Amino acid sequence: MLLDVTLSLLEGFGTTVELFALTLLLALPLGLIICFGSMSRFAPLRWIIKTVVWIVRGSPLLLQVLIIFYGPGLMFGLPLLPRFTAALLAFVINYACYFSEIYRGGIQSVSRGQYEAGQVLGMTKSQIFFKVTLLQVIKRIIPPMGNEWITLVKDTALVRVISVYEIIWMGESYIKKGLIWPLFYTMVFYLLFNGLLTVFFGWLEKKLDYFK
Amino acid sequence: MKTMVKVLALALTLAMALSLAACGGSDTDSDLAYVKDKGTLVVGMTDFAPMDYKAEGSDQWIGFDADMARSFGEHLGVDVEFVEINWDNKAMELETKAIDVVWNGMTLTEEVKKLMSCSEPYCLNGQVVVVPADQAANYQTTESLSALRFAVENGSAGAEQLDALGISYTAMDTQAKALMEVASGASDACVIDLLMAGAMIGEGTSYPDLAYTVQLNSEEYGVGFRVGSDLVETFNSFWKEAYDAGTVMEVAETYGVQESIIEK
Amino acid sequence: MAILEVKHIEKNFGDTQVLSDISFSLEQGQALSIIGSSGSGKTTLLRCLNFLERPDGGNISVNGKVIFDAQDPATQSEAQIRKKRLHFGLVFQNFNLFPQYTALQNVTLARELMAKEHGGESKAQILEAGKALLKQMGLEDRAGHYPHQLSGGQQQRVAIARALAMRPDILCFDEPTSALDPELTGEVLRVIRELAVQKTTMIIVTHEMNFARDVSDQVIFMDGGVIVEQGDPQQVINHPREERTRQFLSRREG
Repeated sequence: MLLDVTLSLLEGFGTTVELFALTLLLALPLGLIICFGSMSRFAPLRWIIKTVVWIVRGSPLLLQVLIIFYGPGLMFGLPLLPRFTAALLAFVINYACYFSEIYRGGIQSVSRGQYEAGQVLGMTKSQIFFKVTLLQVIKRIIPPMGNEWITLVKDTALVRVISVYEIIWMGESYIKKGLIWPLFYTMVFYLLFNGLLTVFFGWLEKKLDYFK
Repeated sequence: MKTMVKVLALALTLAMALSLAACGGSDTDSDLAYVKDKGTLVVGMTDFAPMDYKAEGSDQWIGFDADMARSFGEHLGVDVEFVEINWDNKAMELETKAIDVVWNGMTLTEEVKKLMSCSEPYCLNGQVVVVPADQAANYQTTESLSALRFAVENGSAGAEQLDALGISYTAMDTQAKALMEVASGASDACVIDLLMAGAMIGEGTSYPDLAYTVQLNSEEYGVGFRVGSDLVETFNSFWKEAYDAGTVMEVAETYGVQESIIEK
Repeated sequence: MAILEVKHIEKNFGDTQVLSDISFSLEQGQALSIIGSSGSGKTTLLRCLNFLERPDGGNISVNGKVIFDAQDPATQSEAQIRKKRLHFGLVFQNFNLFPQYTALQNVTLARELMAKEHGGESKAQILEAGKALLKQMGLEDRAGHYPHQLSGGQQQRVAIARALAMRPDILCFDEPTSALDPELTGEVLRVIRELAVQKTTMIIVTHEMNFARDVSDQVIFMDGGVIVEQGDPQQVINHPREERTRQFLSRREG
């Protein structure tokens, strides 16, 4: 029994992890693009991006998932995206906005003097970014990133509103068979996974502890 | 800055106008032709024995509704695909064409009839009160219920009955969760479908320590289609044929619901 | 011929004029000190020479060649500026060492990137040169230390080595001891003094009057964005001709 439940929950957890990994894969670079946009010298672009970030960060992710899946059909009679794709899209947009703010904080926390020191030594802009500031930015964004990744793991539970069968859905389906404990058993999976993430981020932090 | 505001306002107005136009125009096409053209009938349902469920260790959906849905698919000459949906979203799922039909022991409430075009009723049902078996003797009348803390599926027929009686309750997202509330002691009682109660409660079932007492009403099950869909008519005539041929009762007996089937 | 010639430099921040008609020249191997109160424009002038700010008017020549002319956009492209600024080195008030690199890596990084881009020196050569520079600064035993493991004075000496590594024609110092505890200024001033002895061409913005008088061949006193007085250090600091210079110097002593 325990084995059966574990296997079926693992199947759901596969979806959870897939959503987690693909969201990171796409939202991490997209967040950087949004971040550069929000710091652009071209005011209209900056304004548009800030508005988008405000909307995305200021409204519940649950609502965004519903809108992206049902919205096209309800408003325009358009065909829908596949459920997982819609969930992924909502998550990527949402998390890219959060990441962009984390990046911005990190980039702005590196002092002007670092750029200027690079400039007077004849470095190009990209050399300064990759050789001087990047590692300092990474060091500073690791703690907020760790928080965000762990939140992301837990947020994946939301996508069951559009019937993406992640682990909580699988756990809940046992209630109909009269088994209540599988729902709570899902917690073990989350805890183990987030435990791994915590260890990973701890290791990263330590790795970059050699400079201040 | 000002022009940006204007552009945004214009874009929003345009989007709203478009969406209204789209809503107005969508009813004219034939739903039957759409489904046949697609070659698949997507059935939205939930795990709800004995209408739709999976046998232990199997991936195949079975149950009275599932088997009849397959038979309807054959009649149309299309494949049938079952999608487990979030019951709260059933109307949205239909309207956006994420599914083609809601077929899952759905009680024909006023709310449901407003949101979709429904078939003629095919099955009788009622809402029953579920309490722990050792207390069942105390709650055999409607009057005795007022002191109980209830759990009930949000927006369900059971919730409608409690509303009518003026009894407050905690809303759950499935009937199964409402049952779990009672089993765990979080609530004193819940209201669920008679059919479900028959399959899931009492000795030899998942909840041996629960029992059902008062039946609050009687009601009917129907199949839901998109508003204005021509599939409703197709379904009604298919059902009549299947009933006359004896198929309906045959399937009903397999799942023990023959008592509830409505005579055609 | 003068190695550096600055003519009629103007600089505005919005409506505020911070530099007005700045002209001076500097001979090869000489040291020039710029003194003046904060807000007098001396740091801005230094930043203009290193193109951290773009002058709004005037021109700058090195070795008789105009490297920047406010009237000529051809001298102002990003690529041009990047090449031209290598005539100058700059040592910052706050060191601005790169925290994730060791002292030696701080010194060699830019030169390695340059070599990778244009060819030339081998990595080993650059490393040797870097070590030699650290030794010159008295820091050969600190090569593997990270900036946060060094004292302020040591960090500033690494910063000087880092600037020297690019072999600038003119080395600029922006108040190199202002961020240091008093007991640490000596070691930095000693290093700069040594560079003066070796005939390094330098421009030093400083508050250390005695140091400016001892080490430089020429002193400029700035106030309100203009050069008030310039000339021999003994004369400007000990016997100023201008009233504003006298006031500034007496305020500092008082």
